[in-house]
Parts: sequence; C-alpha cells; structure tokens
Amino acid sequence: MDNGFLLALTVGPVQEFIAAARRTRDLWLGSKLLSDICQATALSVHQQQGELIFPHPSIIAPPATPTPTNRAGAVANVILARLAGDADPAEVARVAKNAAYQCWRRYAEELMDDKHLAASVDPLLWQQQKDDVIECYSAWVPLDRSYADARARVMQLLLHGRKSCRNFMAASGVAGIPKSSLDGRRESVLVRHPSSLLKHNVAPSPQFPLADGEELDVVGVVKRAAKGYQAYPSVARVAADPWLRKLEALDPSRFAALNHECARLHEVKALNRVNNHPHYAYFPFDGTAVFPTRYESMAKEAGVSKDDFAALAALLNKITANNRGLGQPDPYLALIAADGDRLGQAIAKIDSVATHREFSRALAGFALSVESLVHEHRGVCVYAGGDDVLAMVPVDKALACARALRDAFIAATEPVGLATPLTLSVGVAIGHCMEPLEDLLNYARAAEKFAKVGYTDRDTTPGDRADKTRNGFAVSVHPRSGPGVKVREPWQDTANALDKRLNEWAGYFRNNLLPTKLPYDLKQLALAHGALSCAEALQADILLLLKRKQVEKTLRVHLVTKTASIRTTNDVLRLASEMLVAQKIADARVLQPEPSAHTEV
Amino acid sequence: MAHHFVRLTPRDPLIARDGRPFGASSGNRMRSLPWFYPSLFSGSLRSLLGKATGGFSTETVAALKALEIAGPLALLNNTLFFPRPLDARVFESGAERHCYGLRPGALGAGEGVDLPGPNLLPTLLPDGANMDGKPAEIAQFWSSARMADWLTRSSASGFTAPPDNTPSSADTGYLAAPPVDFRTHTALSDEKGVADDGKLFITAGLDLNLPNTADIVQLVSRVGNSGWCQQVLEGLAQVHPMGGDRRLANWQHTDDQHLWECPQGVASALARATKIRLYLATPGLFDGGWLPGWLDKTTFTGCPPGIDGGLKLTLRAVCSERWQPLSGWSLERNSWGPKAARRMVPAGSVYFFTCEQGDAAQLVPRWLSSVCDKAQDRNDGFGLALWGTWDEHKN
Repeated sequence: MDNGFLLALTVGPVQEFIAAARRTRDLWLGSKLLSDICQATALSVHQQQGELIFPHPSIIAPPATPTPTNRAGAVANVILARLAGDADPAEVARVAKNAAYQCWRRYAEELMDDKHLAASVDPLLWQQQKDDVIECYSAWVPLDRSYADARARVMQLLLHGRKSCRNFMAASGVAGIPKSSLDGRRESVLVRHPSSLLKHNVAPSPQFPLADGEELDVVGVVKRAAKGYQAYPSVARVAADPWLRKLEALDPSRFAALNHECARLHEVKALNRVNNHPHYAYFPFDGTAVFPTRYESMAKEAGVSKDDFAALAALLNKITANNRGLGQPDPYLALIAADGDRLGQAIAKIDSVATHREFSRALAGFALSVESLVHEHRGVCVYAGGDDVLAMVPVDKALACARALRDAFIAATEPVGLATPLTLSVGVAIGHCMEPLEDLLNYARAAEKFAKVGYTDRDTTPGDRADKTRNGFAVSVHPRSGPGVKVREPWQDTANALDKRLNEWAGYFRNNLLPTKLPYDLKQLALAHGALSCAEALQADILLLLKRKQVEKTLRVHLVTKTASIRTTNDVLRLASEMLVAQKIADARVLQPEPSAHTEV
Repeated sequence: MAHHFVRLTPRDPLIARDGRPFGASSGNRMRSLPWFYPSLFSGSLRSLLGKATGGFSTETVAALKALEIAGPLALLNNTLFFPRPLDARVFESGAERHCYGLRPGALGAGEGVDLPGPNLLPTLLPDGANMDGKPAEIAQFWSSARMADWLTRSSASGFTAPPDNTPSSADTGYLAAPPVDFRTHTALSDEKGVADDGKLFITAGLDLNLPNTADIVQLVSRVGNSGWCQQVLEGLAQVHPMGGDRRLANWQHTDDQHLWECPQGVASALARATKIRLYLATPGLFDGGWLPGWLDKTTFTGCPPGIDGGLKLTLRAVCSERWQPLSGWSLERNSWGPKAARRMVPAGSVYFFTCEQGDAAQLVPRWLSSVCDKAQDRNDGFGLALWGTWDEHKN
C-alpha cells in the first residue's frame, strides 16, 4: 500500500463513564478517565509512527507545564491516524487497544494500594468486573483514493459497520447482591454485611463518600475514589457562588466567620475542601455548607455527627436573619452543554490530511481553552473534548459564559478556512442543585438539543424550519415545582440578541423596575387576544399593561420600542417566556456596583 | 403441545424498573426501562397461575417454570408491533427522510476491521447513501405488516422511511415508545399516620395509553403447556398485578393464534432463500454473550434450537447495539432476592446468515420461537425470533 493507510479507532463505554453519576466528582472523573484512556490509545498510535489526524498531537503530548491533577478531559473518544505503507494496521490497532486497557487497569489497580479501599471491595468481584469494561473497535483502509473518500469509507462505513457487531462476553453475575446504584449494569463490588447480602459493610469516609444504601460497581468505585480522593466542586458550590460573593461584599466580617467555621468543620473531616479551583479560593469549601437542609445527609455521608453542624447552622441563621439585601442562598445553577454544528459535513469536505490535522489542531486549541474560559466565569468544566463541552456555572454568569464559548469556538476554527464557517450550538439549563445529577445532565442535553433543533411539529415546511436548526442558543429553566420554561434563538451579533435581551430583562427585574407578575400578565393578555389578534392591538394592549403596572415612563417607552417586532400572540408568549427565564437569572444577580474582587466590573 | 394465548390490558401505568436498587435505604427514585423484559411478564403470569392453582410447592414451582411463555409483544387494535429492526437507518436531508438497510459488505483490498471472527463482515450502508449528519430517530415499534415487508426486502430501496419516535397513529404502522409516567409519593409515619418528613419517593411507570386517543397498547403472549393448569388458563379473566408497586392489569385468555403465525409472504421468501436474517423480537440471552451457543465458536456455523437437523447456517454479520443488563428479583423461597446480573442482546438486533445446507423453510414453524441456548430462558420468552431474507447491496 504505497500511500499508507487510514486507521480509525473508537473507545468506550462512553455512557458508563460520563452519564452514570451521583456526585459531580463521578461525572468529572468519569470524563477524565475516558479522556485519559483515549489519550493513551492515541499516544500508542503516535508512538507506533502513526501520524495522528484526530486528535491533534498537541493535545496528547505531555504539557510543557504541569497541569492541575483535576484538569477536565479534553480528548474525544474517536482516533484517526495515517499509517505508513509498510505498517500493519491490525497490529497497530491491537497495541493501541492494549494501551487503552492498561490505562483503565492502572486506574483500577492504583486504588487497591489504599488499604481502606482494598478492604472495602470484594476482591473476586473486583477482578471479574475490572477486566471486562473497556470497549475498543477499529477499522482501516488503504489510502489508494482521495483522502475525503478514504476517510468517509473508514469513518462512516467501516467503523460504524464494525460497531454494529457489539461482541461481549456473557456476564458472570452473582445472585443475591444488589446492582450498582449509578446504572444497575453490574453487581455492587462493596463487601457485604455479615447479616445480609443486601447491605454492604463499608463505612463512608471523606476518602470514599457513600450515600445511605448506595452501591457501586467497579466503574462506580473508580469514579468515586480514583487518583486519591479530592473533592470536586459540587453543584451546590457552583449554585452558592453568587450568594457567597454577595455576602463577602455586604458583610465581610460574617463572611470571615463563615469561612472560619467551615475550616473548623474541614478539620474534623465533616466538610470537604475544594482545591485546584483558584476562583473558589475565597470560600474553598463544599457549597452545601450554606444549605442547612443538607446537613443531615452530609453528616451521614462523611460518617460524622450532625451535631458538628450546629454552630454553622446558627451562624447561617444570623447571616440570613440580618438581611441586608442578601436573602437566602438561591439553590439554582446553570449547566452548559455545547456542541459544534454539522462537523461531519465540514470534515467530509476536507480533502487532505494536512487540512484535517489543522482542523484537529483548531479543535484541540478550543478544547484546551475551554477550562480557563469557564473558570473566568466562575464555573467548573466537566469536559471539553473536541467540539463537545459540558460545564457548570453560577446562574449570574451563564449568559456571558455561553457567548464566550461560542466566540472562542468560532475564533479557533475560523483560521482553518473551511468552505462553510463552523458554528456552535449552546444550551443552558438552569436547575436546582438538589435535583439528581442525572436529571440536571438530562436538562443540559435537552437544552443543547433544543439549541440545535428548535423547531416543533408545527413547523412543517423546510422554510419554517430553516432558521431553527443549528447555530442556536437556548436557555431552559427547571423549577422544582411548577412548569419549566425555555427560549431559543439563532446566535446573533446584535445588541438585540437573545442573551442580551435576557440580560436586560434580568437587570430590570433585579432592580425592581418591572413587576414580577408581568410575564404572567403577558400570558393572560395573549390568551385574551387569541389567534385572531392583530399586531397593532397587541402592542397597544402591552403598552396599556405597562401603564397599569406603573412601569416608569422612560422604561415604558423603551420597552415599546424593544417589542415593536411583536406581531402575534405567539410573540407575546415568547416575550413572557424570556421574562420568566430572566427572573431566574435576576435571582442570582449581584447588586451593582459591587466592591468585590470576585465579580466582573 | 397445546398453546394458549394470554392478553394483558393495563389498568395503570406499569412499572418495569431497571436494576438500580430502590427502597427505603437504597434510592428514592425509580428508573423505568423503555419496554418490558420477558422475565417480568412471565414471572407475573406464573405468580398468577401459582395462586390460582393453590400455592407454590416445589412441584408447582417446577411446573410453572416449565411453562413456555413467549412474549410480551405489543398489540394495538389487533395489530402486533415489534421493536424497530436495528438494521434500518434513516438519515434526514432537509425535510426529507431516507431509509437504508444495513447489509453485510465485503472489504476491499487492504481494508480491515477487528471483528471477532475472520469470516465476519461489517454491516454497511449502500454506496451513495445520503449520510449527512447523524442517523435520525426512528419509531420504536413497527407493525407486523411493516416488519414482514422489511424482512423480505433484499434491500431497503423503495421502503418509505419510518417517522421519528413521536406519538403517531398506529394506522401508519408505527408506534412511539410509551411515555414514562412519574408519580411522587411519600412514606407515612407508622406512629402518626401522616407523611414522614424527608421520605419522598418517585415511581416511574410505562403509560400504554395512546396520547389523545381512547386506544391502549395491550401485551400479548403465547403459553405452551402440556396439560398442566389448562383449565385455569382457559378460564383466565382476572385482575392481577404486573411489575413494581403492584400496578394492576387485566389478564385474559384469548384466541390470538393468528397473531403468532408466520406471514405467507415471509414463508414464501424463506422457501427459496440462501441468505437468512434472524431478527430478535425480544432480547436474546446466549451462552457466548453476543454469540448464540448453537453456533460453533470458530466457524460460526450451526443450527437454531428446535430444528430437527439438516439445516446449517453460517453467521456472516451482526447488527446490534451495546448489551443491556438484565436484573430482576427472584421470589422463589430458596433464592429470594436480586438475581445475578446478565447481559442481553437487545431486541431488534439482526443476525445475518448464509444457509449452507438444508431448506430454510424449516424456519417457518419456528416463527416467534426462542433461539436462546438455555431452556429456562426459552421458557421465559427471551430471544423470540422472526426470520427473513437479505442480499448484498447492489453497488
């Protein structure tokens, strides 16, 4: 094969690593684990003289400066490389797969060096499950045709055709033992209680936190405890961030007292400390500390008495009772899920290895920039692999973070000079930090899907649907009670773009310039008009409503101008939805101006 | 062996939990499976029959386990529906949907895949298929007529693309997956008789009512027995729970023989076929994990269970998805508790064979019979097979 080969590999299981999670640490470490395994696979191909096309070698090379141990995963689970004509693709794939298995085994085996953990799991079940987790498939074609054709053949036909045959071994399950609480795919490996197989006999500890009755299989234990337990910022820490910033600005002495009390709880191993996130250094503890309803379960998980939290509860009572515009901590956070649009089509048009590698370099650059970008917005990056991003950010930073991600993606990919410039669809889901993490993730993925495909069954013609696919920005709000609300629009670079409007509405609500009932009144107005209304009547009634609500005159005039495009009752309902979303954002807003180092100016 | 037919009409959304622990100290939230696994249905029916015949002695339990229960399959307005075949792919191009069939495809010179056997082939789309973007969603259940059509087409050309997985009228021959009905409950305090603080829990059941219609999806099954409990089966018409939370359903003996017969078109196609497709209407359990134990581990050649020899099939390709976990809770006295985890080949998976010897018409009487390796799995309703034909893409 004079021109060499194209080799494609795919590594999994993706869902088990990145979807089955109860704590943010499960989610983050699962993503990192998958990324590390894919990195090891890609590195093996590279070391066997394979010319990596995707991912770009820059993302798998050891970084010049040591990265924090908790860097988010950044290597996607598909690998494409060119091999020399004298290479044996089957052997290269075999060795690369072995590297994937070894990487996973190292993760699992390092855990057993910890005596407490080794004593917590059944060695036989651990061994059985450990060797039957990783899935890796490969396909290759000679480069005896155009690069675009060869790439399409190996990636879209042969690799998919290979993955259609999901060969697996029969399970060696054991009766009587409960399955993993994370996904139920395998038996729990936790050692059983002498009195009953249905209960495990593992005492939770700060190094190995377990919820009451929680069971974990080999993948679950690795995600929970691998790499030396380090607390990863919880959803509660992200949710609490705006309130903590407000407290620091409004009541520095009580903020210092809160920090002091949390440090004491950390000393007695009742509260986790968050490391490696400099933007959380001003309050480097689990955010659950400011949600007293969680103290009992926190104490259980950490294996301490709930009396340890009495002083903290009293302090919080004082802080919130002495209300200086602070209020209770808002338990909502934003999850951001983003994905590049129509990358497959863009890649299909790439006609050379060199251009494809440049494209991969651009994606690698974007992926590596995401974490610091999310940190700038006071959030936590769960993963950023290729064009795929998942992050958690405080609600008051969500809009800015979403736009920054989109801008960074365009800036990273534009120089490649693709025939059609790429876009990024971004979904923001605002949910309660007490919701199961699985639900929050589903909200985020649904928001991303809504950003990508915003049309409904009512949009029947291609014209109706044309501007509702891809290049979208969507925000959904999921209250713990009552119906949710969502809005979507294609990204725009004007002052009237959806994110800018939401920002504006949130500002009015935050400063009490608009009544909180206004969105509901707008809905009533739309219902009263029905389908037969005309634009002039609607706009006149909106103006009347604003007057009746005693909205200040200058703002009223401004709003009438802003809503001049309203033509139908659907437009009014949409405005009401935007305002409901904006109210949720306003709840987390920091009063301006704010004399704090931790907020944007 | 006499066959009886049992039809189940749900009164409530029925609960089919996945394997995650659920209970006072192990999780307060149920997760529903997308559809009922056979063991859930057969276990409930055996409990019903055991109660009706006077208890669960060792002999009765053995007799109950020996009943051959095939099912459950979805039925709507007397039309049987099957899980979507995994060898169907739909791609969207603007407002158009294009449907393609995956078929075993030969590799060119120098090409390779790491399949688990030297003679296995990848399943490929036809040349020139419009593959823009990711495959589109497909309706989760296909009517028996649609399935018969699909299984006898050598290629998918001319096959109208199925709709996506949104609620649609059964008149189109497609059904969406049933929606999950979540209900929030609270435990009651034994002492005070009021809601116990912090004891909320959520159940999740499959709602088989068709949205915005008066129609309801029923579950049907075929029960083979050799005379034992025949009277009870023939007179069966009662309400009995199925699945979690003791949700109720009406169980009724019916005359559904015709639903279980191989359509004439398929029988004719099989009679002259040398390329055979095996489609799993219910998830498969095999000794070799993905590979049926009745196939030799090196040559992948063998004869499905229930055929009196003379038929020799060679596996050429598989079109499947990732294994699904099977859990369950045993109610037997000596093994009460969680069953051992097992791995199933998902329903809808397709195995492509070439017929090396014998007449494929022998498969016609095995329509909707199990191809699992273990007798108990066959009795529980796993691995019910539909048979069809295939041909390579004509590129």
